[in-house]
Amino acid sequence: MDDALKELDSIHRKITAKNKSFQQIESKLAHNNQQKIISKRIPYYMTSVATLLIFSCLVLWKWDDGIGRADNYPVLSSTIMEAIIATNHSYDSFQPIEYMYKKDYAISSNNEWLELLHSLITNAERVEEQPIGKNMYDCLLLLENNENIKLKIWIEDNDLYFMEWNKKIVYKANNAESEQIMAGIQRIIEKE
Amino acid sequence: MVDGGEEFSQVYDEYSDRIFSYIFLLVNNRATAEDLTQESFIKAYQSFNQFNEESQLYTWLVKIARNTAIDYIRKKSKYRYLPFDLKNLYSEQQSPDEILLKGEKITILYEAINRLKMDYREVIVLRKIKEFSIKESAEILNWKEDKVRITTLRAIKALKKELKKRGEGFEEVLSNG
Repeated sequence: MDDALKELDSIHRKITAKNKSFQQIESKLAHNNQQKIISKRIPYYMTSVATLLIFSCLVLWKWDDGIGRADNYPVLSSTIMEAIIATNHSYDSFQPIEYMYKKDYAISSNNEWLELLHSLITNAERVEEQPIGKNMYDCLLLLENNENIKLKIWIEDNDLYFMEWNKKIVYKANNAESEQIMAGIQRIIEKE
Repeated sequence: MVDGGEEFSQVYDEYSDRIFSYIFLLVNNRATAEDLTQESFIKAYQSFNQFNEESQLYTWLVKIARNTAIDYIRKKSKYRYLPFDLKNLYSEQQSPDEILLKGEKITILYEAINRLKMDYREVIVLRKIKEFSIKESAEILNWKEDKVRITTLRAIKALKKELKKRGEGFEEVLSNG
């Protein structure tokens, strides 16, 4: 029986099948190698993408927060219809609200001047330092869409600064426009 | 192709026919044996750093081939919830052409082996057909050497019993042993 069993040791295999198998092995190994290289790089790519995403989120967050960009004042949502202006030396109050119907405030409805004011506000840039002015004006802007904006405006070293009342973000106006605006404010106040 | 390609090519040239015939005896199908041979050599290439120089390369390759074939048989079994048994899987199949061409005597022997339970069949293939030593067979099967000895004796006994059941022709097979 041993001889008969040994007969089963060799099973005929065609040389073409043997060669074809070897080619397929080569191909599969090469493919596996490529996948291995790719899978090794995946953590690197994922880390890079995650870093980029986190960085983008931080930038966007800072952008929304108003920090770390060119920082123009947010574009006004509508045309300025009127500007109610009053002198004020305090940060803690806002005169046009309190004295709306008293005599020491002034109203401007001069379209040309209001457009210039709109442009000044829109083009103003945020500043990190917050210079305090002695002569401060409160300015209530009534917009066409019935919204209103409360600004505190002051001059420091010939530069015009403003901020929204009760907000700590200070903006510096463009010099060319600020001179005309300040002249207009003076005229409005003096006229009253 | 891949690192160490030339050396690997030599190993394939030298051993792949023997690995193919070993797998063929377990799965009884040329195409499947060819596929599993490929798979075995891919595994061997990928785990070559685990090869222990103390054992023979051929023994190590057969061990990989055996595990590959067993995995395939387990997956293919229709009765996965039961302990798998090659006898159930192949007893009703006609012998492949590769066996029929060897003549009636070999075909009877082949069919009788296929009717044995898995443990018996494996030790007969390793010890009697492939002529591995007890130590090598134990290494391939992951058994103790004593188990290989005892199982081989029982497998031969079971094979003779199976041949006797077949009646005509078995005397010729046994008379050679």
